[in-house]
Amino acid sequence: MLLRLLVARLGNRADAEDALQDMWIKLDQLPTSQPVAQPAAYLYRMASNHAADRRIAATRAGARDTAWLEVQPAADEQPTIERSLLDRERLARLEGALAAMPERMRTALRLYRLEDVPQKEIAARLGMTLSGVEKLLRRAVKEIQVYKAASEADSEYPHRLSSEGESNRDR
Amino acid sequence: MTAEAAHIIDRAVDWQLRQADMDDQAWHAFVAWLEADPAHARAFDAVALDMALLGDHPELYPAEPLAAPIYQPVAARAPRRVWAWAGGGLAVAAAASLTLMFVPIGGSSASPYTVETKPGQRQDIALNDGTRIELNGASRLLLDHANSRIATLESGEATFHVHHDAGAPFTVRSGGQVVQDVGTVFNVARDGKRLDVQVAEGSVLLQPNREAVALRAGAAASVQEDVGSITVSKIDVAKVGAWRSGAIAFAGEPFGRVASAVLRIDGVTLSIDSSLSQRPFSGMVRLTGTAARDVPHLAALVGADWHHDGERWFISPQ
Repeated sequence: MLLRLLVARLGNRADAEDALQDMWIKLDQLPTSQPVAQPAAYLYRMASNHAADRRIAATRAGARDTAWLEVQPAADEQPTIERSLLDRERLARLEGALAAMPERMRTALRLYRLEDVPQKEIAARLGMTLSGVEKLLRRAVKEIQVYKAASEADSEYPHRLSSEGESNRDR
Repeated sequence: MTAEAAHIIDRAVDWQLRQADMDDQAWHAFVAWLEADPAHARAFDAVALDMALLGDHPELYPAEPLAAPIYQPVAARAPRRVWAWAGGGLAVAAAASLTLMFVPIGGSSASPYTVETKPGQRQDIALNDGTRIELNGASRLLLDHANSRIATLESGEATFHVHHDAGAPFTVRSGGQVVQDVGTVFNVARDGKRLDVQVAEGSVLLQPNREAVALRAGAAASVQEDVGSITVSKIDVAKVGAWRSGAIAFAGEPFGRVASAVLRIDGVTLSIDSSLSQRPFSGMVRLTGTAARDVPHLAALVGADWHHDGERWFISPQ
């Protein structure tokens, strides 16, 4: 099931197996005394984070086999100008989406993502209910996707962005 | 955007926000959903990437308009700090129209302060939990009166002697990286987008909530935030935090990196010609704290010339 999750996230089996391998290595390095409440859910969450990190590394380096953890530094791994452009474009769209958001929504998102404040505490700070915060965060993340879809439609190079999203599947 | 596309995005957002507390069954349902349609996997991928970037790039967020000018420098330098505003949501609304009510409050809330060293200067910091921090020159560390278990290295280098408390791990942040102690003496150094973590005693977790890379005594990790890579290597534990005795160790690293050590320890600006700065350099150099002795020595090590224009120092090819 873990492998299926990784395959679905990374788009191909080879990367997924590689990622799973990495995960076991990391698990092995964890201090053994660390208690884990729900081992299965913990593994899934770890796999999911792992997949996200790999995807970020892939969009940055533009290479599907870029592993996040490398044993040897490679001087030739500097992102090319075009590759870092893709990354910058993505960041620029995020910046635009954040700027376009109502302030309260942005504050909630910042507390949640950047400062790792639990949703319950965000609710207390913003004087909202917990379900109000959940809805606000959901709207915030959706707003970003809608904003991006709209600005991608305006973009001069729409093909570049859509192919970036599928880079792992096409190659 | 079609209604169907919007619906898929809704679902992707739901799955993303639920990840922190999904049980086994929910994960099965999630995988099934991802597999059901490539459009699902694509939508989720976009959401997950954006969420990760939102957590790693504080600069994306516009400056908070409510912050009083006096706090803005702190808020701008350390966007990860938590600021509490009196009265919660009410005060947020009130502050927009009235005077500011945007004050950091004590007790459980954050009360950050900055310790900063000039080039060539250094400082020892004792926290009330028994933790000791040695801050190298040209460095800036953000601490919190309300929470002595967290420190943010904004620039420069520091060696941490952490008083271990399993219930409250000591956390060092720097840029997008988090280092968490598991009973430890370790050194953290930032150079632009690069962060180096070296462990002398005990162990630390790098990015404890994400990759959880465990580093034991004798391990060194180098994070390149712009490339998104972590390189793990070995280091002689005696050399961890060697800057404290003026020593800097290099293992095949670009020679240009000595410039930041010279700034921190000797307190002078050293420019290294670009033809030399990328040259790999190995070895241990002991800096005396006096640039007039150290710069010629460094230049000799790589067979280069040096000069001094009264203010800055230069190393260039012969």
